[in-house]
Amino acid sequence: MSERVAKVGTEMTAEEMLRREARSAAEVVQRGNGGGSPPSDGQGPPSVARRGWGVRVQRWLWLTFVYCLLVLGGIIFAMPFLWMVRTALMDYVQVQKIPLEWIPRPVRWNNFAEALSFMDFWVLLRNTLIITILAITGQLLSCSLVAFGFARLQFPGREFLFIVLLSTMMLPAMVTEIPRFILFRHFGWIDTFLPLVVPAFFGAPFFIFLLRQFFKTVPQDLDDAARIDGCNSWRIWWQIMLPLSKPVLAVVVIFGFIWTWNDFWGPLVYLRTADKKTLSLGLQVFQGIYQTYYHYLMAASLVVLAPVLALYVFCQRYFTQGIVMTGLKG
Amino acid sequence: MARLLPWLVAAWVFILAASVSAAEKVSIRYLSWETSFEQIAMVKKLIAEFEKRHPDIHIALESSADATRIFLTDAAAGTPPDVMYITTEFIAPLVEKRILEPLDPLIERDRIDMNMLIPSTIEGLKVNGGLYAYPIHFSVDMLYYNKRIFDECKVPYPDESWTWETYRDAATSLTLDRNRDGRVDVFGCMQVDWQLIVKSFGGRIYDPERKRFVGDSREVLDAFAFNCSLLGRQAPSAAQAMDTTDMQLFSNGRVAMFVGRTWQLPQIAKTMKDPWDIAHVPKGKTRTCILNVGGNCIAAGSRHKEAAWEFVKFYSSPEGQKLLGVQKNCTPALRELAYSRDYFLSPPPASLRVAVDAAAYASGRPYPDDAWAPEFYARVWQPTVERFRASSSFTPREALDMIVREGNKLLESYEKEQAERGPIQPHADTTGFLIRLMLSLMALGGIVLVLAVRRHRRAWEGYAFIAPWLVGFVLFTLGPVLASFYLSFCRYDLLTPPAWVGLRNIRELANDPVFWKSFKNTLYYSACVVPGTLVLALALAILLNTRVRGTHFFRAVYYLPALTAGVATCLLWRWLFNPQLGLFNTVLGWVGIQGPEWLTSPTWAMPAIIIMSIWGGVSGPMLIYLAGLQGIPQHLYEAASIDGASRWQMFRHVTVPMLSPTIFFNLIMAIISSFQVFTTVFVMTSNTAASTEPGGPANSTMVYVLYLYQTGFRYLAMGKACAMAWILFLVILGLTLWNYRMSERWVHYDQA
Repeated sequence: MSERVAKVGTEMTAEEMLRREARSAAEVVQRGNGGGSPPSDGQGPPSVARRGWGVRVQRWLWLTFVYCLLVLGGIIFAMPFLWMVRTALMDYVQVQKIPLEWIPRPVRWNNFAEALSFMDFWVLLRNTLIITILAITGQLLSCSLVAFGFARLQFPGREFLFIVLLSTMMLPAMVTEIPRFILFRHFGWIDTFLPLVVPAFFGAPFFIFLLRQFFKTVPQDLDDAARIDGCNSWRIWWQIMLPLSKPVLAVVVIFGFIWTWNDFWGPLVYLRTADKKTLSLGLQVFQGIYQTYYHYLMAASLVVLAPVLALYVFCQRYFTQGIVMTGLKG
Repeated sequence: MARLLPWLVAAWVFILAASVSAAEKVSIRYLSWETSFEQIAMVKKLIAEFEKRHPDIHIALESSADATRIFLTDAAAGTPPDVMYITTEFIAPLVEKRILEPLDPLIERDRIDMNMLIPSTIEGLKVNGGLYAYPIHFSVDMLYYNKRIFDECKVPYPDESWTWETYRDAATSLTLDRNRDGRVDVFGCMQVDWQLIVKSFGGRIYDPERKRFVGDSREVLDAFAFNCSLLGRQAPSAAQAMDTTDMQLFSNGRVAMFVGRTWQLPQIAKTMKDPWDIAHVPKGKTRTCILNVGGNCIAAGSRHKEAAWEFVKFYSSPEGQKLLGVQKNCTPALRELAYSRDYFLSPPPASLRVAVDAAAYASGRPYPDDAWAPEFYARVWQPTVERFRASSSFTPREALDMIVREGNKLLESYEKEQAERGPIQPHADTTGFLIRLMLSLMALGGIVLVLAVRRHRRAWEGYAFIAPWLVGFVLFTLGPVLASFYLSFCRYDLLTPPAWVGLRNIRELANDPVFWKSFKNTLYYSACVVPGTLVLALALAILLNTRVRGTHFFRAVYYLPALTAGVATCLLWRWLFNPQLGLFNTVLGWVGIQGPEWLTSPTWAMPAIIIMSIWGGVSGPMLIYLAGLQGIPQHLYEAASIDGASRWQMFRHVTVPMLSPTIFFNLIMAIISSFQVFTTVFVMTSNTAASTEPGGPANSTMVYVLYLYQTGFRYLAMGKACAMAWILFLVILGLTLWNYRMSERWVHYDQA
């Protein structure tokens, strides 16, 4: 696995250079000719630039076509959320009107306050925050420790254990869920946060994998220099690796946050009393057997989703970075 | 490290604060089934008054629509709610598992006069002669009718002489096509509850002597046939009703009468515009209807039984009941309240007495409310009668045979289990073996470790660093995996020690039609979602890869679904698929298509979930494809265009091969995750108008992991659930290996 990483890595750099050369060559030609060159879309080549209006029109048509598709896609992906906002701001009576109306009249900002008070929002928020923060802390610490061990240190059985780690990712969660429930019951941890938090301190295979791949790209020279200066492994980990890995750690934090925040199964199985439940369980409250209060449900759902969306807006590039790092290695 | 310390300390303080319950007061958990605002607010008022009178007792209120399952698993986990609301239907299984406290001794000790209650309500909560819940209220079947439509069609109001034939004939006259456009505007009636009609016709499906279902009763077939005959003529079919509930159709004036239950009274009183009233249900062979009694029960494992009993008594007392307000959705079990004009008997409607008097002839279902009854209802009865609606070629004979056959299978397996199971010890240590297994594994691992370290001195560091994962792996993964393997061959319900049964779990699964259905459903789901997601993701990635300005913005938008994956989004989509008020059918309506009933229709529920899954699942693979596309060297395209290749040929011969590792990765990930779908289906199909159980109308959306969850956590057949988990693992492993083999033909790793 590591060998292929290295290979692709170097090849990419070479390809990057080649591509940049090709691009700048095309630009030179383009500037020389004064006309537009057909855009390259990652699929077609930057062909030789041609003169004239025909080409310009072609480019405009192409652009329009692409933008239409993009906007259509954007509508399909964003529409459900717009619908959510629209429902959240409506009166219950207006929500049920047939034919449907799009604009809330009047705009009920109250819905948010009422929905949140009904589902005991602050208690649920407190619980979800506690669980999420603890879980993220645990994951950061344990995953970086373990990844460092796999990436930098030699010990017998290292490759074997790494393969074991990877194969646990393929294990359906269900195979271990029931014995884990029994185990936690034996410990007396049912109806506490512990089953949701403690396993995070023992590492999560996905993040360990991610971090290990990243650590492998950090040049060994830094380590060697540090050792010459008398650092032991712990200090290398704490004072050299971690600071260098801030982007990847950010990815771990972000993904960990999203997964724990939206987690449904864990709280469903392990949390019992009402004052221990989390936000994802709390949303069920609005679904009655006889009727569902959609406007409150949507308002509450928006509030539950808000932190995740806010995080996304602020840390966008880390998301794509994270996905790319895990996926590319194939 | 110093900077982190305060954080960790704060965090631990938080945990402790959160987990510690209020000190000195006795705190009891009350599990209620109420899910509406108003009702919960009323219960809170009652609790406040109780706490005022008993300052040393604190009541923690919880409410859930899934209460019995919670009670069962909590009792198995050793932490049951102290008091819970329960009804006739669900009381027997809990009694049978010995997790309910018998109330007769307490009633005798406190010398409570049971004559205060309407007699049939007491019978409704008795199991094997003992009372296990204290009655609060009850509900019966009644005939609701719209007076205005009756007047319009000059049909006399329902009275005591009505039979089912009268019902149908009246309904025929009451079915109107006002504007003569060929479409019925007002339906005469609705179909009747299947259990009620069978009972009313005098049908017998259960033989109490042999304790088996029997299919020899002519009356049952007549009852089924009667109900079927209404469909599409006097009663709207599923499509005509657009899956609105009976209640809503009645309130909207689209149906002239229907046989409903007491709990529908308040809603109808609120929304009904025309004058209306209720009457006794029509007579069949005799006049009868189904009685459902609700009451509060006390957990046998409760640590505060006295406090719980005080609460139960107060709840059912006149003062307590008055605090809950006049709940017209059930008739009070207390005589003084049921007959009180100031309390229950205040109109609307005028003939409210029917709701009280019906107690005289109301009784149980056509089969006894024994421990197996809820499972029979959910897994045999309900899916079978739902098929009448789904397919018009399903005959009463087929239905009855299916009910008898599947019902008896259920009874047989139930009896076998009863016979084999040891005595129930709710607090026994049934898991010692698991702990010992893991400790021995760790000891083994420790020995191996020490040996390894002795050979390579420097290795201890590496092991130290990976120790968190290693320990966690043994404790939370390896141990459970081995334990789960062992449990697959056992019968285990958390209340008794695991018992070895060999291959029986597997045999039972092989004979279980729901198991195969769940497997098929999962395959159907996967076969649609995996290609759909991957193809769409690739298309989007190509789109995003065009060198146009603004792709960054769109990439952010396209990633929204992955971010928001979770319960909130599932509920949003549930709302989107609402047949009348949802976005989907509205948009379809713009192009003139009448949208289907989506989540409440057996044929359309799964497509709805598939659509949602594709929408939600596209973002991840899309980004990976995007990264892959950007890694394809440009010179390949140049070379191809020099050779005269067209766009499409370039796609086929350059893009796809270069992307093949990425495609392969996405394919494997998609298959593995699609086989494990759970949350989406659970959230979208629980508590719908069609059924309260998740798994969709007639098990059409019962996917594998959902059935696993039900088997383990609802029916407490943990051994079988473990067997299912292992089968899933083997299937996924097999698929992955097969794909890996196949991949050697089409995946090109040599990227030069």
